[in-house]
Amino acid sequence: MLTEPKTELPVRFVDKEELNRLMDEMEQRMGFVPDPEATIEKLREMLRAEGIRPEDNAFSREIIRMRYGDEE
Amino acid sequence: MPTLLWDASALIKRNTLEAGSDVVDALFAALPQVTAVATLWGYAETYASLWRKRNRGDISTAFLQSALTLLRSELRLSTDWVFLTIDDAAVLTGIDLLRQHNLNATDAALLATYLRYARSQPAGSPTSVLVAADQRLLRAAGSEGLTTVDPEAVAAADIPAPLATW
Repeated sequence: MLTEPKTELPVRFVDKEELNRLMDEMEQRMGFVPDPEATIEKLREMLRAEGIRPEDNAFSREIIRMRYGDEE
Repeated sequence: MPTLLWDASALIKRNTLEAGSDVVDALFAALPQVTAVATLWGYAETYASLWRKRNRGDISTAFLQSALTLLRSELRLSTDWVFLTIDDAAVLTGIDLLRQHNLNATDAALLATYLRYARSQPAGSPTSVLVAADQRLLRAAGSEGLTTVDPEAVAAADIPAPLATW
């Protein structure tokens, strides 16, 4: 069970409309061109072709490494 | 149906191929019946993980382009997802949490944000469930009373049942 609230601070949501406007501007500056053919299936096919092994969890481990270094 | 609170360590499994990617797919398939919540920080961490892998030569630029496209369309541009703000109060609460649970400041502020969200929900609201593969974060969240799921630790076939009961 969740414990009683320690605070009554309001939950704050990101204004996605504003976020999208800012990110779209940034991506345009960066020259990012979305891939209209992108699908999850195609992504995974590409990874298989590039020799990525699912059991290595290489991407999620990268995130955990960014947080904790080599101390996992 | 629960509200799923996503950590980048689980989110990245959608745009890649890892243990638990099929579980993450099953959770995505439940949208919009389940509410999906992330943080802008988690979005940035997911983005950074892909970018660093490309810079290191582990993935191609073509893959990066496709993965970022899907991250953009499935999360940022999708009305099925809401993003929470990690504010100064969450960072401060996080300092208390990092002392208790041996977290780093990022995980602690993220946990503080999600706990505030979960604790603010009225009685009878859908259960808030943290989805993460970061074991420290999962342990700390569990200790704080948050329901958790590690996509690496369950089978995709087992997902529909808890989704209905959480």
